[in-house]
Amino acid sequence: MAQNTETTNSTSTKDASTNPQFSPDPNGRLYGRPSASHDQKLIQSAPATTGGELLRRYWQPIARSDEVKDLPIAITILHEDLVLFRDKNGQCGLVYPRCMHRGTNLIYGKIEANGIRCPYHGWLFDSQGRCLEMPCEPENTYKDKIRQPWYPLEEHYGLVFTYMGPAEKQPLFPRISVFENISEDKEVIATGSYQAPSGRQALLAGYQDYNWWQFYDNFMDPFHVYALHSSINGVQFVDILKILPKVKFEYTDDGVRTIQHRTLEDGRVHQRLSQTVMPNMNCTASVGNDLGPAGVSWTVPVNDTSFRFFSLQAQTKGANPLSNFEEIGMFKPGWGPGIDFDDWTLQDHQKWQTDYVTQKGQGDINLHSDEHLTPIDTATAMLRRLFKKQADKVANGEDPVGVRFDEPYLIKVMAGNSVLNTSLELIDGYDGRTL
Amino acid sequence: MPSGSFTITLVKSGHRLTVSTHETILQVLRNTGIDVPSSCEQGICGACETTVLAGEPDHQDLLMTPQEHAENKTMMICCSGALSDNLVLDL
Repeated sequence: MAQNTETTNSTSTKDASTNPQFSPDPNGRLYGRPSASHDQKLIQSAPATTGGELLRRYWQPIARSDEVKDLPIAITILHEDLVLFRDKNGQCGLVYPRCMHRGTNLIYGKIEANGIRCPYHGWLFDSQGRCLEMPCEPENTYKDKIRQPWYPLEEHYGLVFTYMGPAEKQPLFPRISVFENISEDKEVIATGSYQAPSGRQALLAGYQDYNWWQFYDNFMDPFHVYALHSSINGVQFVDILKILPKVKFEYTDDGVRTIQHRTLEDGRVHQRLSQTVMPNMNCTASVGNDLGPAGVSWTVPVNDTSFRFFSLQAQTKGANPLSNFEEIGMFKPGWGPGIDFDDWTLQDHQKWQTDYVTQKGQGDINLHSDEHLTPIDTATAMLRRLFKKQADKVANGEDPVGVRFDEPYLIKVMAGNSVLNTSLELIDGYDGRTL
Repeated sequence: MPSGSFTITLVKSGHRLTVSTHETILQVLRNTGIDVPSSCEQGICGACETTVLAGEPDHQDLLMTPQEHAENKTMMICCSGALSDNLVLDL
């Protein structure tokens, strides 16, 4: 199969590699159609790929802090297998798995006060991979020459973040506008994928067993809300989002945003502003009736066919993060087959189509050369283009947008739900248009 | 929609072609047998982005930033025309 290093959107009429006599059928029969291909510059995240090198220039979340307890965890992120641990003094470490002695996987390491000890010959490594002890030969100073390869970690808002890029390009951890100066009664909580009270639900499940771009593309897709979420198998969200929106697609200083206006019956306008921030963050407001700012999330590739998703949201202290779910259509009795999402059959998925099947259904990795984009896809196209341009900047030795070494970069969250009057002035909610 | 009639000069192949009022650059190239990447043909996907060496494009795409439009280094040939009489393209 043809693998190309660049976007292959060619509608060339000849595919000499498969059939030198081929001409396309004027009525579109499948016979002889050229094979399709991925956009490699988009989908790859391994080291030394343009996408992978861009993602490595930013702090990436890898786990919730409360996941890192008394045993090491195997983490794969951006194609790298790593071991994450928390020593008994509370410090997290992230290391290459194979012990620098004779290669035993440190997933079997013993957690101690100052680090992780390989069980084979007892070499002890601290949270930045320094070898503290070789207990079989305590006089040997060779330990001072040994460093278990490591990555730096920082914990913020209940998530563990790592930086996997070149040391001299390590940025300060960014500031996030909506989490600063929050009121006393609010707190920022972290979620990975989580359970609804009645088990795993379609909205939250996110199996995440496909290329990250199929998930990330979706945040700049306001029109699938009208089709998939509102008219294919009933109202999956709330009635307001059934309305076909008027949408503006705009670049921001560090990403792309969509400004969606839905005219309500009384003439007021519901505004939903959705935002992406380079290279892999999104700010997406509630899909319920509530008004207010969005939180922030990261889509983090594990490899080219899977990813993890982490979110931060500011909310009232102690509140149930799922408290508005009673109003959301896909959680109401009568929507769906009524069983845990993990147990759905193919027939269940065919009758109750969700984000999961529309994204996974594009393939383990989408075949971009098959696409025919239309104006509703403009923000998705803008997002892909911006990402590739940022990746080119890094490949050319420049710094990408949103990294700062002198003082932290401020991520301005513009996304949120609001209601405007007929002159499009804010009545209630969060309006980030002028940020 | 393309603007009035203009010419394009292709530096690599040496062609000098006319693009009339109801044609796009992409159509003219295809009619001449020149194969270039394309997909949406609506100024959205960026597949047909072509380097401009001289001349002033009339940008009609939805994808480039305002700064990129002002710099005139590239254009989307499926939908954009010319403000100048001639465009020199890296094709």
